[in-house]
Amino acid sequence: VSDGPSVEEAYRKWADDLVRYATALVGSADASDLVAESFAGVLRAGEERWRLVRDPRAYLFRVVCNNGRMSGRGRRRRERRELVWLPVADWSDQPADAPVLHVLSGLSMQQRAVTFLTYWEDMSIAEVAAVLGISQGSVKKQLARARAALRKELS
Amino acid sequence: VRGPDDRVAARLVQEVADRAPSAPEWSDVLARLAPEASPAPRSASRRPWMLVAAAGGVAAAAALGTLVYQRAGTDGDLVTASTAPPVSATDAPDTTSAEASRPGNSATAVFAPSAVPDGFAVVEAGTWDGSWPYSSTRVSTETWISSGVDGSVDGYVRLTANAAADLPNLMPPTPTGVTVHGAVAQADAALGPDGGGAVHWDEQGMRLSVSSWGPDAVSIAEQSVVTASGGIALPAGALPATFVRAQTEATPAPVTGRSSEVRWATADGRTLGLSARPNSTGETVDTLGSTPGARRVAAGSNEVWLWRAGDVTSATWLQGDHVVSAGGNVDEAALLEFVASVGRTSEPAFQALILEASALDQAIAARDRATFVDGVEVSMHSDAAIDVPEPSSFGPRSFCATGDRTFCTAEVTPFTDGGLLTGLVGSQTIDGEHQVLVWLGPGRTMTRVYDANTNADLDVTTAPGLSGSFARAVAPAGAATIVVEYQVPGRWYRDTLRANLGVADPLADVRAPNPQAG
Repeated sequence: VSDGPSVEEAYRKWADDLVRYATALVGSADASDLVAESFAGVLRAGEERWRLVRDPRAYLFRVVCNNGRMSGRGRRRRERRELVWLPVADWSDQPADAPVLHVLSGLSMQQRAVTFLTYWEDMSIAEVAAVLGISQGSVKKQLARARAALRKELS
Repeated sequence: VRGPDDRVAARLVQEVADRAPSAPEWSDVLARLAPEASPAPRSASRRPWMLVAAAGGVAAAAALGTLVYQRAGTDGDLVTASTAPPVSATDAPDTTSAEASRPGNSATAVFAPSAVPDGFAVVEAGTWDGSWPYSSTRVSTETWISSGVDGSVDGYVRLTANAAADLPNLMPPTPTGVTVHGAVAQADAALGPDGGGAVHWDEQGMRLSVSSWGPDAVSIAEQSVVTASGGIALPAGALPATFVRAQTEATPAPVTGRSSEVRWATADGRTLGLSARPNSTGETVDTLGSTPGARRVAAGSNEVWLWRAGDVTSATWLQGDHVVSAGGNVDEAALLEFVASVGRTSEPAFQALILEASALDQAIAARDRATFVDGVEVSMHSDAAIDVPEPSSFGPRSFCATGDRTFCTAEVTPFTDGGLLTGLVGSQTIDGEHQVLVWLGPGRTMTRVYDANTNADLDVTTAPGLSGSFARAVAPAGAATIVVEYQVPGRWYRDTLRANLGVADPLADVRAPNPQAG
């Protein structure tokens, strides 16, 4: 059982990091909402479960990524009667002076996550694998594909 | 950063990070801890922000939300801080749906309390078709619950098998590497170290799901037995002995009916919500206890599950053939009193709640307005400046339209660019038709509006606003997503707004008095 931070303390400590991460995943319009929903989900799951989390920061990155994936599912959106962005299209609403951002729409959610965690959070391959719940081989593969896509798009 | 590709990627994430919005307030997170049975619209905490704005309160949530189809009515019984003008009982609106107005008809039931705690005002109300079409064809389901010595739930497992053909888009393009019975599976929720979570996979023409907290979901899925005729089942001994199978019909009969939702807020940002949906999933009182630490208690004639998360108290229960949930920043005693007062209500009574919410929407400052050639006036309301970037894209927004009545809805999707409000999309009933409403900021030119499913263009009517421009189009029957393409000066590509429309409310044609007519 962890004696780490409470959920609220974790929020105050890492919310900004997670919003940046969520921006890479779903775009700036939905990033704050995604993070808030993710923390609400953690609270709903209860304190007992939170206390079992060994690495709260990594856990929260994983929660945000999983919720980001779920937010793109049409059926759930319709069930919730929500007006939402479609995640891959999020980057269409960006200024002309930042075309580099546009290439994100060509990356899968997991590739965005791998790229951001590697180059912004400076996580190792092993850390990224742990956060995303995938193998280190998958991380390397996704990172290579993301870099290739970026190179092609920006060349 | 090693090579050229690394530099490109590093530059990319730098730009992403630079454009990240600020984190929402912690109070926004807490405001989302609302009823579970009908997930809280993400706009739920927007109105509280508006309420507290005048008192210098804190910012709340992103303004993404629900379409609410509305009309107005009357009922003087509710103890709420109404913002709507009083309407006499004789002004009760006509309804075009005789069936809908029949109290007690389970197919059209809507729920409301007879009283709410002091200080709470209605900020959102709506009903919609809650029948089965938005769920898949159920093949089988079973639920297992483990309870602690004090009776609280300490473990929950649910297995479901649905017709996979009904769920073409469930599986995301990036599987996690998890497999079940040799098939690629998607781990859906956050899998904590205790192994809970959810996993989905396809097998024998079905979409199988296991959700759990407590036991490992993937392990349970591996142990499950799947047959084409029987769906999914757990063999004996698959779960710890503390788990007891809750009485769930393996194949619940589809239930038609109405879902409804009402939200209240106080001036200091506390929220209270009530939602109800037809019990299409065949829940029993036993199976509703799916929340860690939930306790089973009595509230009036209702047997409810009650739990707390943070400072939010929530409850869920069965009332007739509906699953009803309530929750808010109130203590347990207050929530139980609220729950005990909840019952099916008449259409006019529910419409009174809707009218109150509409009046609140109209109170937001109008930022732009236009009159269409058919005389319909549409106004866009927002607390954000249109031509000056705002530090935050959050805040209240609404569309109001005056046709044969005036009605406003805050259920809109805003689009921002660097903090500048650039567009707004919503929908509401105007002159009896379900219409898409679009507002584009200054300088933006609409090039196309179309149904994303059919790629068919919509017949759009436009009207110049004082600063931006407006457009209206009748929403095609069955349309789910509408796309608005527009051009921005100086850009080499077209921008798009996308909005999911939800479903038309069966009460949409009900006529209501103009809320401003007093």
